[in-house]
Amino acid sequence: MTSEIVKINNLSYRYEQNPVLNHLNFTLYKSDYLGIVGPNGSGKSTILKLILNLLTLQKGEIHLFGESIQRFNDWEKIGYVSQKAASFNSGFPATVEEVVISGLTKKVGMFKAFNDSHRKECIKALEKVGLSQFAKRNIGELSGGQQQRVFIARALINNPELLILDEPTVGIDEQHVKEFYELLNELNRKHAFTILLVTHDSDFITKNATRIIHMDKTITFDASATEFSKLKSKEMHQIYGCTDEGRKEN
Amino acid sequence: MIYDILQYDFLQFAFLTGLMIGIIAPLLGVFIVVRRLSLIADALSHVTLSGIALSLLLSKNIGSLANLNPLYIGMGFSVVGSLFIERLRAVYKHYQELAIPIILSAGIGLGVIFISLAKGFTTDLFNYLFGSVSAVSQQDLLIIAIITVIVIGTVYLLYKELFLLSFDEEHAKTSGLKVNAVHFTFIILVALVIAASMRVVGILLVSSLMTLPVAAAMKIAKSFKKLIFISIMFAEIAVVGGLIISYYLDLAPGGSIVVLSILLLLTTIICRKIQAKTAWKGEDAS
Repeated sequence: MTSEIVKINNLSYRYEQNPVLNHLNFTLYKSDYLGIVGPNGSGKSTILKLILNLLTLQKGEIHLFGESIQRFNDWEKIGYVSQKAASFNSGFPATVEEVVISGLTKKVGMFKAFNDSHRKECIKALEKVGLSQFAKRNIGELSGGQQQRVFIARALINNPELLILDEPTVGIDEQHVKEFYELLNELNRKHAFTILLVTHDSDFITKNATRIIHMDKTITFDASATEFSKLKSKEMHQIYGCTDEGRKEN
Repeated sequence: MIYDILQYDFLQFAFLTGLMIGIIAPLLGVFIVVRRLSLIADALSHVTLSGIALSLLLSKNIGSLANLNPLYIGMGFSVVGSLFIERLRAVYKHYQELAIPIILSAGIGLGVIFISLAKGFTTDLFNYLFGSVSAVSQQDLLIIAIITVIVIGTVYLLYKELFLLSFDEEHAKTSGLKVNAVHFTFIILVALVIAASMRVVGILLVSSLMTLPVAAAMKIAKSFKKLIFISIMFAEIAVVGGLIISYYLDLAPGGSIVVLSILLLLTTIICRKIQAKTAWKGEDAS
């Protein structure tokens, strides 16, 4: 039986009087590579914040690894790469190693310092994203694409079972976006990571993810990526305000 | 100078205190600067001022409190001020920086009332405002030594949590870190360091010792640990140099320390610019 990593039941959420999510239901299974797409204000990032407990649940249920989010405490099982990671303060004086190893903070526990075995784990995580040679470099000296890989390495250092990414390719050039998705594909197919990715970029996600959810406050489409790519141009126009062809021209 | 230090207790107290705050002020300053909270130190130092003014007022009017060390009430006000800042940051979630001017003006307002009630400035208050080489007592030295041990010990034990909180607060939250507890501990430490530093640097200039050496070190440091190390080194140069200058020229040490810190900062900026230009020329030549 395929195990349930995230299960969402009848989830609704409001920012003050404005409904952002209405009666959402979906389940994310082990080794799924799920892309959530939708227009601005559709509630994509809100779902992630609720799953990550950054927002308090108002209505509905979220289960993580079979446990209710209110009781869930194994946060090391979840690696998170936020939208902010793409626009972090690049002047922050920290090396790549310092940033990646900081992912182990909770696991190591309070009042204990990092040791050599933690540094080895850091190098292993950097090897997975192809950046081990940059360990001692200042993170601000790296390109946007490389910086994003550093944040993936930080998320991977705990060997998480679920990787959550919120608009991870904002501000990154197309070549690096392509390489970034290749890395995610490898993590999903070779290392069986479950991936949940929220993005605006329906082109790249359709080519890479195995399953797509399209939403606009509620789920309007939930099927395989192949099915999603068969959506007619007209529907794409309704969703994004342009056709597939138009998007390619741009 | 060395002969004078060996001969006079007050000079020994001032230098030892200076060396200690030269470590703890930039040590916390590094986290304050990278978290863009530089003005918190200013707000808390003004709250400390009102505590000092109240203490001096009480000492003047109540006989049994004549020998009360103003550091105690100053420290108390600073800690309470830090708690209020945190409360206000929670109330104004989308305008968290508002907490700083609110507490800063409350500190000045209360301070002015206490100073008026005490019928104006006293030499003591002047020393607290701008620092003094001669005002550091043995009791001050002991309190500051205790604060130094607490601050260094806590930062050592919570280093990785403080780093994560400073670099990426959202990630710290999602990883399950007790962010509020760590931040709360940190802000209490800041309050203690401000109270500890005011004897030598002065209340009005204490925040500069937490920010200027860090600002200079940021132009050089490539890693966070190096940033801490270089900031402390710059702060010690400014403190020791500032104390020597103020002793010989009979100046308030706070001013000399700050001016030296600014000179260090300017030198670092100029050196970095020259270095960058030289690198371009080298590339063009090859």
